[in-house]
Amino acid sequence: MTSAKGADAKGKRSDRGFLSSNGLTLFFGGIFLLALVGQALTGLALYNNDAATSGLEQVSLLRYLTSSEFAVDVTENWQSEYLQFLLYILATVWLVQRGSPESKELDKAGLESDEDQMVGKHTRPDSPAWAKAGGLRLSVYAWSLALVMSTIFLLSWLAQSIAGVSAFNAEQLAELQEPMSWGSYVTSADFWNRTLQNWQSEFLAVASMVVLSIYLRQRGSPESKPVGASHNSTGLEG
Amino acid sequence: MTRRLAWCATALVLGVNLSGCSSLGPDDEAAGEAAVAFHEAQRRGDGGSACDLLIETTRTDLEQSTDQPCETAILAESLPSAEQVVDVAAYGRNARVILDGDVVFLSVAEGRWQVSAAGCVFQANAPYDCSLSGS
Repeated sequence: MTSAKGADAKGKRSDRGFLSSNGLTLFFGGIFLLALVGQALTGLALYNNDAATSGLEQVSLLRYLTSSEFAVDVTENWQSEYLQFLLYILATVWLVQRGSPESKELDKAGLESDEDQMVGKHTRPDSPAWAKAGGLRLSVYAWSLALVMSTIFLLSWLAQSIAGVSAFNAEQLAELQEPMSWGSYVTSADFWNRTLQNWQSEFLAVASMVVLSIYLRQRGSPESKPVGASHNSTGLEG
Repeated sequence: MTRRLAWCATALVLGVNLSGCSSLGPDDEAAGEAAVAFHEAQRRGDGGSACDLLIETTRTDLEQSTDQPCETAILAESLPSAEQVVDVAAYGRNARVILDGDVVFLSVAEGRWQVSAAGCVFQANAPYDCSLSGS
């Protein structure tokens, strides 16, 4: 959803220090870890409150971190986030939105020419090795972002299903009910409710971003058009 | 087992090479042993040992419903005879043990498996019907 600009887009090394050159990654990596720790601590408190109510023993943080309850709560959110970005990466190849900085220009829908993509005879000295290689390596590299995102999505979703059936069955047994097989669980209301409640919020956020960025601006953000840009200009990032 | 898989699958996603995944799951075998020990104690008339294997809420409910101490009340329970484990399903802190003559539910409390319900009969689309259970 963003494009490199300025000196870095021209392949030049910046003189900025490590921290300021990698601020975006460090910031989001940092708040991810803080949020994960917060989720673990609050989840442990809830888990032990439930245990006290049921007359069961309290568990340690390590024990909770290895529980299916924590695993399903983490992975059900991960899979939906990776799906969101995977779909966004792929949908924006072929679909456009007039006026949105999140979209390509209207006449560029599709995989684009080798010249536009700087491959084949249009590679540059600083192009990645696999982009210069051609053949299978180029084909893989040309789809590598979607391949990796889809792999993480599928693994997260698989982990959600495995942790989910375990957490679901723990509740079933606590209520003196029959546990469920993995095969039955992945077609169950519990699995799809957990999945779809995450998907719908991700899809809403993306659709909102695409539409709101047509008319609204954030000065200085590459996710927005320049403040003075026309509502009709498409693919223009600030 | 499934809980163990859950952790290992999550670890895979995290990209963390974890050793010892096999030690983190609930102990299926210990759940089966506790269920058998409970039935053995009840069968030989050892009310104290049988009650020691009951979880607190079930013990309290038994005493309140019979107005007798657990050690006496548990021996008056007409539980089906069972001696051998047929199948164990353990998830998180809960387990269901199918014995050769009974179905027993257990939970982890006080650091070990304790019986939460026994004398249970399967019912389709409903919880097991248990002659001994807590609220």
